[in-house]
Amino acid sequence: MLKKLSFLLLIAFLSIITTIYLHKNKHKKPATLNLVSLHKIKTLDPILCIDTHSFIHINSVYETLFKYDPFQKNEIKPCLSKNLPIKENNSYVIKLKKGVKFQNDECFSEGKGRELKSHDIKFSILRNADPNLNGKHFWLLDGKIKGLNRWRKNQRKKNQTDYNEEVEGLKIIDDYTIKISFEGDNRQFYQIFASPFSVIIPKEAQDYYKKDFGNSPVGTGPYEIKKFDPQSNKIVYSKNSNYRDERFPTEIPENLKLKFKNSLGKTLPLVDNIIVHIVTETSTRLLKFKNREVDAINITNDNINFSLIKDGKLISDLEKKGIYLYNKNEVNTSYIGFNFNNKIFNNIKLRRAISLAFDRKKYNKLFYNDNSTTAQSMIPPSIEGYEKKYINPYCAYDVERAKQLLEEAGYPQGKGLPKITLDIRSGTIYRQKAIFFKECMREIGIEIKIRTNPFSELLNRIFKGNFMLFDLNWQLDFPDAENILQLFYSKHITPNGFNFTRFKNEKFDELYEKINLISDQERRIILYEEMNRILGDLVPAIFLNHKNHLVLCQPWISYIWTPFNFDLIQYIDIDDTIKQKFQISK
Amino acid sequence: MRNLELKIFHNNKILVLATLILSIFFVVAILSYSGIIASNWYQQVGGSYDSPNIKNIFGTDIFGRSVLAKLIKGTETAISIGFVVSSIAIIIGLSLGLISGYFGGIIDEFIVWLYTTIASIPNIILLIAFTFILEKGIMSVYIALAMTRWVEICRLIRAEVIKQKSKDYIQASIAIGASHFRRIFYHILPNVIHIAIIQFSLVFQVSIKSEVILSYLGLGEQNQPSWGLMINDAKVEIIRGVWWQLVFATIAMFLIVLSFNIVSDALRDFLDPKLRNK
Repeated sequence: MLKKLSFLLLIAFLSIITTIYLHKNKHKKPATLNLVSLHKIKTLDPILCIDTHSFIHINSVYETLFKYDPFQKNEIKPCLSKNLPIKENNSYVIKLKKGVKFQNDECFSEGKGRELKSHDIKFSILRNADPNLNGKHFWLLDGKIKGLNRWRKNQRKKNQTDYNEEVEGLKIIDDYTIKISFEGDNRQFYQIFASPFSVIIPKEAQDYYKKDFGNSPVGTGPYEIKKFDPQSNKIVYSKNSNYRDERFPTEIPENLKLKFKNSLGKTLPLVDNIIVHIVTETSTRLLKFKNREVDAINITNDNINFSLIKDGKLISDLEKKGIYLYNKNEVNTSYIGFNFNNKIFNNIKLRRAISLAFDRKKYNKLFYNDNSTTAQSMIPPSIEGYEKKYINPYCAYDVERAKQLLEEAGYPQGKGLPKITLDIRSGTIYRQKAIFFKECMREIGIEIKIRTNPFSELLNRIFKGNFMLFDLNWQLDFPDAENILQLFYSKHITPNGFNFTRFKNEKFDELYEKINLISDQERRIILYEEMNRILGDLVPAIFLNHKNHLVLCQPWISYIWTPFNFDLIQYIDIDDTIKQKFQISK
Repeated sequence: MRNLELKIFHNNKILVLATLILSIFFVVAILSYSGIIASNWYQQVGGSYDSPNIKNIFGTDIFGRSVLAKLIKGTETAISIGFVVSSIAIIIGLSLGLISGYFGGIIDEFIVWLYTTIASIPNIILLIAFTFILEKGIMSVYIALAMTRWVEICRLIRAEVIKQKSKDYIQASIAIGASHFRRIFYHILPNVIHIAIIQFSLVFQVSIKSEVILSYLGLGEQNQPSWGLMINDAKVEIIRGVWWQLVFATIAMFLIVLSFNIVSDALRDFLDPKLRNK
């Protein structure tokens, strides 16, 4: 009898435990990823954004025809397109994936997202070129697609843009096929349509939201942002219920398999809900991270990494907490440009003297904790055209040689040289960097005056040519050295392009023009290397460094970042068991 | 007069201390201006961010420069701003206040309109606007601050002049045929000058505070040490445990502003006839 009773009691006990467990799991909230944005996001209109911070949000909602494979270096794969089309007579026939739907939104009839069609592709390309919208990325299409420039010119005369007007280079074949024809040979076709701003937008959204379009993104991507408010201090994402069945790739490099072992083959996005907190203050960001309130913080531009990283590794205090550092090369070059419209900078000896007097090693140590690569010329590492072995003699630190060159330039000990103004953007770190430059120049007798400007004002100055020296960082838009070499091509002198320094060199121009005529990649790389060396030798700018991407991550997330992908949030996973373990220990 | 001067300090140890502190600041500023001390403030004297030690008692900044030398050079900037701005503000405020109060009529209306217009714009916005229009630097800070600080002086002087104008001694001077010039400068001015002196000391410390704020916001002096810039540097330093720039710059500012307040109060108590008779 007693045995029976104990048995019954045991059964009852077990069933209670099971019920509680099931009940608890039923009401368990889906995991939320907490990320941080360093800057306020002004708009989510892809053609009006120019900063990488905004594109991370835009590319989580919208998608492009192609995208970079996050696990294969600089390789492009189809996204909304069914495959990678092959060129025929300077034209590409793009076939779209079937069944791709826009998110549910009130701009569509009955609020239900409709299927993506080829006219959406045409509309999105035309929108980028629409003169009435003042898009910032037309340069990528300028003079490339047949008839697009003519269309743009025609629209300028009209009050309202006519998106139905025929464009020779954009032919809709059927609902899922579009043919894009180029003026000449265009080898950047894939890069153009994999750019973060070449996203596909439904016309209904623009017509419905009109001026509020920038706050109401409607796309085909993995997430939707229901209410975007530029004044708010957070952006809330939820999973797009219409998102097609996309999976985390199973074929990834061996070295990454261990890190992503729990994610392989899972449905994307891996986490359904995301909150992006906008925290502009460095110390607040770090405190939030240390309190485990956010899952990852970017510390690339902060000098907080000095208190966290030693000899390229995290300090043991953080390591004990399971926190890890994600450190990867970014694809950028920081430089101080000369204004070639100012006669004194046409003196090559003066430019070389300035470059030689700048102590890059100390600069890297003081401001980057030795976590950046000292630049030898313009092309950054991991881009073809960068030569690891190339050492630029004018990027060395040699005060004596600099003094000698300055004398040869006609300014012994800086005498006869006017005070040189360096324009920088506002901010403590930028000012401290400028002071470092000023002190270096003082060593050889050159006097520098620092002028701080809000970033928009600095760009304005650079565009107008109203400066002597400027400090800027160029982030490549796609993995091709041409994208950074364009900064010194004479036909791209601002306002026609981004040659801010107004540098002109016949040999350089000749080589630049040759690039597009050569189809063989190997030969092109040789040209890139040669052009890079020309820049290194002529010193049209003081090449500073190439920064690294540094992110602090909590132990429970599998973080991923690559330079040209902006849609990577969907690949980040949270391991709940690890999270619970750490939260209990906390 | 000497007795009066001493009477002000009588039984007021805090005032003595405040005056002493101010004198030290002034002496330091003058020595720095004449290049006797801190002329090599930009030279490296230690490692990057050395904490306060025997060699560098206030520590060093990111480039290994002495924080003490920067503080001294910052004192020069602060005192020069205070001095130039209050001088300009007093000259403008006093002249316009005297003219406006004495002559009245359309001149008065115009001057009142002018200062109410300036006073209606928030000061910090006006300062930012001035520094944007003028080239950034110490000169624009001088002008921007002086252009906003004369308003209060002018308003007070004008009111006092109107009051004095109707008094018997002015009527008597009119009766004996004194000119406008004589009436304003020989009779009225000595009776309103105490306001200008008190305001001078107030404007002095407000200007120092404003300069610190402007430099902190990146709108002031960028090429020479300033307490505001030192505090701004601390924005990225404090998280690394580098507290010395922030602490010493704040202490310096605190001391000078507090001392000025104490001295201004004592001056008002001493010079204002209404308070003196109590």
